[in-house]
Amino acid sequence: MVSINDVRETVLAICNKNNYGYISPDDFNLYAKQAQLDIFNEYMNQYNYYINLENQHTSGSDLADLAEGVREEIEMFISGATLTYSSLAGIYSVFTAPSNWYHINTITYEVQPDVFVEVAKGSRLDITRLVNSNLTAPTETYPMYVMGETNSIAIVPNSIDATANVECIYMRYPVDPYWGYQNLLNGEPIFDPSSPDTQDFEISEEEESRLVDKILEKAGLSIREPEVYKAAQMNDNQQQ
Amino acid sequence: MAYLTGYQYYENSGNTPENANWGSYQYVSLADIVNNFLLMYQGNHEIINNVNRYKILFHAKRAIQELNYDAFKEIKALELNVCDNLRFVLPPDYVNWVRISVYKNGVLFPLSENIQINGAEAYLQDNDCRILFDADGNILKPDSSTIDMQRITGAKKSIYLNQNSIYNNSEGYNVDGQWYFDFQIGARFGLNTETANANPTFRIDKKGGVINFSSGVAGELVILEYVSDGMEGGDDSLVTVNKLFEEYVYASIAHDILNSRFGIQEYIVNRYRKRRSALLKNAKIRISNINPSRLLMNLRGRDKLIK
Repeated sequence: MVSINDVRETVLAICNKNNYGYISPDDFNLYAKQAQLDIFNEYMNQYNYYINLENQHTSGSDLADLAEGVREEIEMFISGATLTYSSLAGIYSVFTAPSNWYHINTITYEVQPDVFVEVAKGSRLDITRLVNSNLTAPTETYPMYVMGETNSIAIVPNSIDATANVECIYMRYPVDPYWGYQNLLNGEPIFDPSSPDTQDFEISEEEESRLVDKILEKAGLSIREPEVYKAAQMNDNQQQ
Repeated sequence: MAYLTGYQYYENSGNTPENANWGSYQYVSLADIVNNFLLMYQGNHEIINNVNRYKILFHAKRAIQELNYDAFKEIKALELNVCDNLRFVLPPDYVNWVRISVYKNGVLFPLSENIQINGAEAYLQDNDCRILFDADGNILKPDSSTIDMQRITGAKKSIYLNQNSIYNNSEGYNVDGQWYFDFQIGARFGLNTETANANPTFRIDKKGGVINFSSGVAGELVILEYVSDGMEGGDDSLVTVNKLFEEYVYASIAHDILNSRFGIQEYIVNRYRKRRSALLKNAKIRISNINPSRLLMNLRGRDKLIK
């Protein structure tokens, strides 16, 4: 976790020269959210890139295992939930997906106590052909799911219903960071760490400098300060 | 799948049927095959990547089907009584037959497949041999063709040397110990060994899904030995593979996936093809149970005098 107050103070220290580049708490919170999402989205590309390096034997092991490092970052966002049964729709049992999912990893259902069967992902484009094939038709041993509209998950066969204890392992989006503050005192908002709205960045501490740079990029654009934007962008590119 | 305790194995933990787990250690389930393949042969660092589970399932089932046709040597047997219609309906999981026998007086009598057809479809015709149609233009058909009717009533003669042989109950002349018949045209030289069998015969109507017998089978018990495709009527949880073929199934799935993928170098496909082929040969040898003591039993008869 990265302290949101540390990041804000650093950003203001760089940006707010002679009170010229002041960033309000609301603006900062918007930039902070976007900066965290930018870094979060880069994890998958980084992971893919490092896997390719490993397959070309140009990546090491142990401390030099770059893919492992990114995987650890990603696994911080792996979460689990029991899916809520929604309705029966033809051959499908429809469940409600978690609201904050980024990528569904695994869906399982409990076929008998403590014995789980994996529900494989399918495409809505292929599901009709799959169901019509003798060898691939989804069964209770090899069930499938497709993503439906309005954040729903449709499972075939429909005998897997509300009684089946359907569970989902998924990667979630990071929680939005929020710099909570108290009312202005002498013209300055004061950081309130005890505020229920206060939320630190969820990505790891090694990303703090990139967070600062990304927020500065956005702040530099906002205050029309090209030097801030260019310097921050250059730093960000070097760190990638 | 977890290993079974002795109690689970012998008595199914007190549940019925008691014999549910007997002999189960010989087999690995389809679920284990698919799961192990996904874990060990598919992934970011493997040749096979980004493959959907249903494709692995498809290729696994196809490999198991092919093994069931010959390599497994898992022959199913079904005993049914054949009634006056001389018909044996093929079992629901039938793919091909191995042997058909009549079980009579405690002895199995293997039957021969008739080299001639013993049944046919027929169309109704008028006196000018013109085919008759109904109001919708469909061809009218009788319930049975003449050849079917005569086979069922026992009037059809057979070229086999059984009770329906053309020589049975026919008048002939015995000259110097040889029988001669009026209706035979031309000379006969020796015995046609292909049809020299006293048992009734059968012929399989594959599309019709029945085995049609000659008339001597009416009222007899018939045992059909046949092979299936191992799909257990669509119940995936029952599909299993003998452990001797487990590695072959993995190799077969890998080969089938790589063989149908775009951009896989030919030498990789060939490597997997050779691996699959070698594993199949190994497994076939293993399951043949060729061992020295059995060979010895066979070889003991080599010097026996034939009188």
